[in-house]
Amino acid sequence: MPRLLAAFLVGMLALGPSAHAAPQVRVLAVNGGQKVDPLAAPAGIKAIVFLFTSTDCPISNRYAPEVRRLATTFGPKGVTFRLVYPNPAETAAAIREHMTAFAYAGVAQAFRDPTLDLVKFAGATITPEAAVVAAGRVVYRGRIDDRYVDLGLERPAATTHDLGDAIEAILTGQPVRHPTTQAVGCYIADFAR
Amino acid sequence: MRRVAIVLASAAAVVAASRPLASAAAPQPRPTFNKDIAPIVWARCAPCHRPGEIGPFPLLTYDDVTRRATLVAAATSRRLMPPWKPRPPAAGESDFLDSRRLTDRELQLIQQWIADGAPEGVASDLPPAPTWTSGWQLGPPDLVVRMPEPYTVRASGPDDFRTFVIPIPTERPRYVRALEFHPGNARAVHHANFGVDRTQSSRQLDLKDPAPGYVGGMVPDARYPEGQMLGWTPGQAPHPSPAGMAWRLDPGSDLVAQLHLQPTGKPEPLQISVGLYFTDEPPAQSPLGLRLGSETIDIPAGQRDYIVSDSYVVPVDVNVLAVQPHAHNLARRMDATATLPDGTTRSLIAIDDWDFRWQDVYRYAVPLALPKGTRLSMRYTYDNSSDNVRNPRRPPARVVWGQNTTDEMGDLWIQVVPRDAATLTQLMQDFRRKARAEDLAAYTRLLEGEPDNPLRHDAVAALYLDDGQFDQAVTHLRRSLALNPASASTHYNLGFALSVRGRQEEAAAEFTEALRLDPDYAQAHNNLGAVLQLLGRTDDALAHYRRAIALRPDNIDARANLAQLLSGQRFAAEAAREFQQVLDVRADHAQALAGLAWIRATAGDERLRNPADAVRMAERAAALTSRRDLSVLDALAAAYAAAGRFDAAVAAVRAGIDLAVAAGQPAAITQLRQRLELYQQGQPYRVP
Repeated sequence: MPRLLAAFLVGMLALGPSAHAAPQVRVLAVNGGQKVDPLAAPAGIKAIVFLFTSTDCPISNRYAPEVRRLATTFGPKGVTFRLVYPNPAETAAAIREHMTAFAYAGVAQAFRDPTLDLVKFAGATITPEAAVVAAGRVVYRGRIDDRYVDLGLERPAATTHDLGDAIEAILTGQPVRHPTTQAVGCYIADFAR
Repeated sequence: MRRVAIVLASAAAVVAASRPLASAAAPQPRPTFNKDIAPIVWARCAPCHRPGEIGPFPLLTYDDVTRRATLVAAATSRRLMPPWKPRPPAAGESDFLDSRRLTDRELQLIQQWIADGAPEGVASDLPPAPTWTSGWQLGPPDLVVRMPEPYTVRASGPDDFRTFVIPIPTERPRYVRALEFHPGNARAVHHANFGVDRTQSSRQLDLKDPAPGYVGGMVPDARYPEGQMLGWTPGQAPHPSPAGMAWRLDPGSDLVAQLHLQPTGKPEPLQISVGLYFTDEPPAQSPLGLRLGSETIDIPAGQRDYIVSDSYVVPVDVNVLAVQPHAHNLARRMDATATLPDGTTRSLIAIDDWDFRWQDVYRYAVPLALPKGTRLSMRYTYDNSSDNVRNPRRPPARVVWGQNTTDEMGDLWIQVVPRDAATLTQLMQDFRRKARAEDLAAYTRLLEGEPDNPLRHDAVAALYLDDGQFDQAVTHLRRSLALNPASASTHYNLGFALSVRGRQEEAAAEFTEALRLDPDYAQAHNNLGAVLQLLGRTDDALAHYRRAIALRPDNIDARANLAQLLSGQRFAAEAAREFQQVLDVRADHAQALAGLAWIRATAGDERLRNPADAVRMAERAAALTSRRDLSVLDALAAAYAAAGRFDAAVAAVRAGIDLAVAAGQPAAITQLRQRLELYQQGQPYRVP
């Protein structure tokens, strides 16, 4: 009995900080490989959008044009887009090649998160999944839109644009209506195996 | 302690209930990748999930699979992967070839292995990795055709439905026993269907579209050759046609590839190629594609359970080789069954969760033998509510039949071969009657909704023409012209109908008007030539035939008419050359066979005569026309007489006279009686 109780408490501790206060999160810059704070942003940036992605996840890749569109739309309004590659097997060179192929270069910065620091901070489980951070807190986490309903089940076109709506709400000082939604794609848990 | 004991007991019961297989025998060893999973993955996943194929990531090694373990568990347990839609066959029924469906045992092993933490196992357990044939799976093709320039699929947006037209460079007719498709860029091609266009309709559409290919699906002139079902889906092995069922490819044909292309997030250039495998062996029999379904689909907005059903009773014994269900995004369930004359039923195919994106041609591992009197039936269910996430319209709206993906279709193609090859024509004619009646009902209904649309009148008229109801056709063609007098093809069809009814002067006026509107209308030149020939204006007729051939060198009807006319005018050598050119394109052209047989039998110039050849060709022509064509019987009789077989010549000419009497053609009766007299005296007919 005492052992079980101890394990339970440890679990609570581990979960606690990521859900609440901003901890020390470090990711690797794709260019240069140095450790950087992904939450750091220049003055005037109102929100950071992290997009968890991977080089060979087909659903992630099909969203590349939509991500570019959102980044171009909201970039001038003080929203910065950052791609996060959590799969430790994806090298910096492979990521650079991926960014060129999907025309991400110049639209979004990219980080590697092989230790899943930022994944845990944001609570992301899927690629593609978005996390929007404003004032150091995750204010939206989930899908980009609802085109993918489930694995193998896809709408002809999206009917709700959850990420765009969340960013609009933040920029206009409104509460985000659905702070979390379910993303559909590849499982980040698999990358750590 | 007592409490603890009770808890343990109930926990054991739960385990036993969830794993009935394991509880029955001794505990099974845990599955490992090397021993249990690798063979499944290599057989079921790796054909697509390997470099260069459509699978977005490889599934070949332990690391490949474990790095996707959660995804593999989710996709396999829901049977999304491997993609295979049909329900498994009932006990004792034949499965489909190349079924990708995981067996229950394979699925259980995969799930168990992942639940156990995906152990790799002992290295010595790993069987040798499969080797993959790169390049052409069926060996080097006899002919490879490739898109002349690449097409680029855009990075995003809805799926792209595009048709590419590739000329097939062949100088003579070939028999195709197999076709192998290479997408050129596997990532972007979701599926493909192939047709052959012997006209140039598809090419014209391609020319109008500045990019390679054109937007949309195949035109009616591009069709599956002779009952073949030429489709491709990723991971499908190419299959040669069954022995003796090659299909004929004529010179001047275009291969038409209708592709479903899927944006991947980046521009995807692709350049498809097709390998053709020929045989010298002409087909001994041809399959026939029977289409069940509806072209009058009309689904109210919001309806969840719209039904399309159809059936057909086969009039002869058949073997069913394959089925191809087709519908768009609203279809949810498909069921097709065969009800035998003794009342027993068997499933042809059943799909519980139709997905347009995974449509396929399903070939039976063992053809289904169905006796005469078997009813083939299909029943599809459609959901046009907003609960159907694949519904392309939001909010739901009324959806009617049509080829665009926002319209709906409901077809089941059933590929059959009559067990007795001699009953093919009977089956074909019987099915054609059914199909025509249905088409006429469908298009009449469309016309009722749009009585002022000339195209609707044209469509109904075309069906009446096909059915031999020429007066009804004339009525609709005249209404169409009242609404739009500038349609060359409508004048053409009217000319055709009038000519068949014997109104040649009026017919000539319609063809002339069609040519005034479209001076390069090759078929109108041909038909005007034919009508002028009937009116005795042979020089004018000759000019129009030559113009038709100049416009379309592949126009074998005009060439045969020209040859016929030349032959009648004693230009036998030139006529023979023209007939031969027709036969080079279509060896079974009855009119050309009879025409050339006539020259080989009767030419004044001895060098042109060849009685044995004449008999062979005339007999073939007679078989093709079921001995119901006057001029063919005349040629047959002349050929027999030239070969010295006067009894056969007399019999053939008598059959001709009977036909002429029945049809009330006094001029022909007189002419044939003169020939009869000659043959009875043991004299062949010789052109003076």
